[in-house]
Amino acid sequence: MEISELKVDLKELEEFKKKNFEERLKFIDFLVDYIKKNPNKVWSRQQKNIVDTKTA
Amino acid sequence: MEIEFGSNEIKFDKELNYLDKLAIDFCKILNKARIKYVIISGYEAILFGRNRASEDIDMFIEHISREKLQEFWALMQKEGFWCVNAELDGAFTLLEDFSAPRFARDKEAYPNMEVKFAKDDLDFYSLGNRIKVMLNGAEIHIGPLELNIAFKLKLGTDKDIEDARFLYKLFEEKLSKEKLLSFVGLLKVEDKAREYIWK
Repeated sequence: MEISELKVDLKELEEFKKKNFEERLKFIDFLVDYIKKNPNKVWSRQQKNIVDTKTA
Repeated sequence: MEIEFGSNEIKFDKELNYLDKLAIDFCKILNKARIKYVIISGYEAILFGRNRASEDIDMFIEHISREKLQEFWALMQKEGFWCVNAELDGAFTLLEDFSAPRFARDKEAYPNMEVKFAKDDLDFYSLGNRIKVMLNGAEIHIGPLELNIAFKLKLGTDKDIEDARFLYKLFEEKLSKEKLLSFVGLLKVEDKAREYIWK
């Protein structure tokens, strides 16, 4: 199939983007709650894994 | 989360990641050189636990002379850093143009410290009202959280809005609502605050 033959529903993509962002914001709330409820050692160890993996 | 809030001071310990260590080591040099600085933007969220990486840590410094920069330069090199995008004179020209010399650890290009002279009223407000953070006993200075939250809303990318929401939700009870509302009004981001922060 050629690229020119592909059909894309841009409205649907826009909806997907919006929903994805809303879910990310909800996850931010979860993360805040997790950080508040857990000792620094617990959340920062996991954060270090993420930051260092993406930075190295 | 174990964290202590004082007047203009925050104290806490955490397992340090690469960006934390970079910020601590670079700020140690600025502290030693007696150059007033303030870390702003994304690293403020990462510092307190937001799970994302960054290519750089943004900061403003007070205006300094070329001689003062030279003094800092020697300290910076001694401590294992280098300027990624300029030599000494070029770095000073960048600063005078309100552009950023970037400093990284030797043999690395990123993550780096993006350093600019404070330029406008908001930058000088950040410098003048910076918060001292004692992180694992090391001293670093960050900009006022209320300003950062409003500014992130102004920048408006998904990442920035997520940073803003993270900082607001984490420190909701510690922030000055009055200051936050003032910055939101000043930067004309009331709609974004309603949509992404208050709810």
